[in-house]
Amino acid sequence: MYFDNSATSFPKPECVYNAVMDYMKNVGASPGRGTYAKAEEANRLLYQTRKAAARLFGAPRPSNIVFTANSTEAINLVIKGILRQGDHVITTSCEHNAVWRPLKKLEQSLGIVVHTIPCSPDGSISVKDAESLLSPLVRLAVFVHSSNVIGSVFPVGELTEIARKHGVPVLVDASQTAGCVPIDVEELGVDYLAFTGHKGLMGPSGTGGLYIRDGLVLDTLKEGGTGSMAVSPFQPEDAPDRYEAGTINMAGLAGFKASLEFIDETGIEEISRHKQSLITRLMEGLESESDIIMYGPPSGVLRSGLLSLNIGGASPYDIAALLDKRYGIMTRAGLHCAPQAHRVLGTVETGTLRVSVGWFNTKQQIDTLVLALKEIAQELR
Amino acid sequence: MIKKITVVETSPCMADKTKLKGITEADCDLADLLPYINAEVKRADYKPGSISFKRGIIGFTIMNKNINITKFDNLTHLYELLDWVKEFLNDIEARKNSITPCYDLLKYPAPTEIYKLLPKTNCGQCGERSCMAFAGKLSRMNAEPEQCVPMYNEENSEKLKLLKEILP
Ligand SMILES: Cc1ncc(COP(=O)(O)O)c(C=O)c1O
Ligand code: SF4
Repeated sequence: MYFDNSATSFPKPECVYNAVMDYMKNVGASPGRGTYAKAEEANRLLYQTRKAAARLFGAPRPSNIVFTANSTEAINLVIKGILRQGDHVITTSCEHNAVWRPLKKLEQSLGIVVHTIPCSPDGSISVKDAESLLSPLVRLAVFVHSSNVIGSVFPVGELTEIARKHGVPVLVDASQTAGCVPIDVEELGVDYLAFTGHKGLMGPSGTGGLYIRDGLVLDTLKEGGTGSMAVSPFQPEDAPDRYEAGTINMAGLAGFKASLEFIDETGIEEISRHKQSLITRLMEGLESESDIIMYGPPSGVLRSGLLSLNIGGASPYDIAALLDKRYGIMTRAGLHCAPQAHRVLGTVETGTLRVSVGWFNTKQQIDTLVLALKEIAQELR
Repeated sequence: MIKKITVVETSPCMADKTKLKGITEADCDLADLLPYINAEVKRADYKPGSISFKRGIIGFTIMNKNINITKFDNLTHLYELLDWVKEFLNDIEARKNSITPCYDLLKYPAPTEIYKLLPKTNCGQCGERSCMAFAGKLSRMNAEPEQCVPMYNEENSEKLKLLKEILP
């Protein structure tokens, strides 16, 4: 029983496996690098993947989507493509290391100044706090859409409106929300949205990308062959080629296209409802057990399909191991690459046990998990 | 109706090496559609058997099954343009019965007629050495009036209006 979908989703829809295999066996060619019929097929496949991603996020054009290896790369591209010596940046107090470490690195190397908007243990964040941190020195705002530890969904639309009113571009880290809640980049008004293919989007690992608003140009993270404009010694100016140096992960993207189509056919609203109902069922099931501490927003509030918990003072690692060995239930214990979020919860020393659901989890599985957690809690008493 | 347009070949643009041009092929013959396209598109260059028109800086030439496109940025851009042109041509095809086909050839105005309206200072801001050279380019639609900056001064507004009228 797999409950670690926030780390990476499993299983994937059947069509994803088939699409990867089909590309590898029957197409094979690299997009942008040839004029034979198979290369055309690869080009078309890549374009259709871009188009499907643009459609899911409400981006006006496929060329607003740049593919990267994951959201970590997409986030690094924006942070390092914008921030310069002495710039200020605002972010939240519960960012994943994918945001936090690049910022800390630039703090060391370029003397940037990082301001954090405090997030409460119940997973809420104040738009007013954000506004008070905006000064003319701020060059970028980075907001996680949903912390992978706390699970609440931040009001990034409102945060973005405030930031943009002060002329500050906004990057949203949608690693946990893409494929989990509906996202419309135009409605949210964001300038950049980073997503990863292997979590809620149900694609292969090694896929992901960045939405870039029309007209914005970032400095590059890497330079190299793009298949286009080979005579020029410089990287092309236009997206997506500018940011996609080197042969692209076409096998992964072929699978990603299939998973995006699967989400489109199933309906993102339907997926969102399903995950939310599973998490609500889990929280309601555990409510009666006073030794179980559930973190983040109360039951019923929208979550990105995950719940962090602890049982009394027991080590979450021990509980995860017990769940696996005795019940065959896979969860994840620890800091989940986001010590910042654990500081908010006061769990940075102990960590938490995280349960995260996917499209293929069922009510029955949740009920089994509830029983198992209660049994463990009673034994520990 | 076009179902699919396949890219046959792409290569650097002659005029602007930072852009690409491409040869593409639709899955059906478009010859019958040309006079209808001519009726729908302003400033199209129609000849029996082919038609060329521009959308911004992007050029399209249609001939039998071929749709050739110039001055796009990259392959993603090309496929976006193919999505657009497919929808555009299918829409014309769908409305064919209510469109009167047009067989008129594009009439290029004489360069001397254009020259009369230009500032005649040979200042070079348009990228040409002389106003006469620019007039030649304008007459063949290889330039845009916006390139002549002085033409947009207040005192030339009347001439600009006349110029836009005689341009195709
Ligand atoms: C909030 C958040 N941001 C970024 C990431 C990084 O994702 P990836 O490892 O796919 O780059 C994760 C993954 O755990 C995450 O939860
Ligand atoms: S910019 Fe206008 S005035 Fe100057 S040379 Fe060109 S056409 Fe003549």
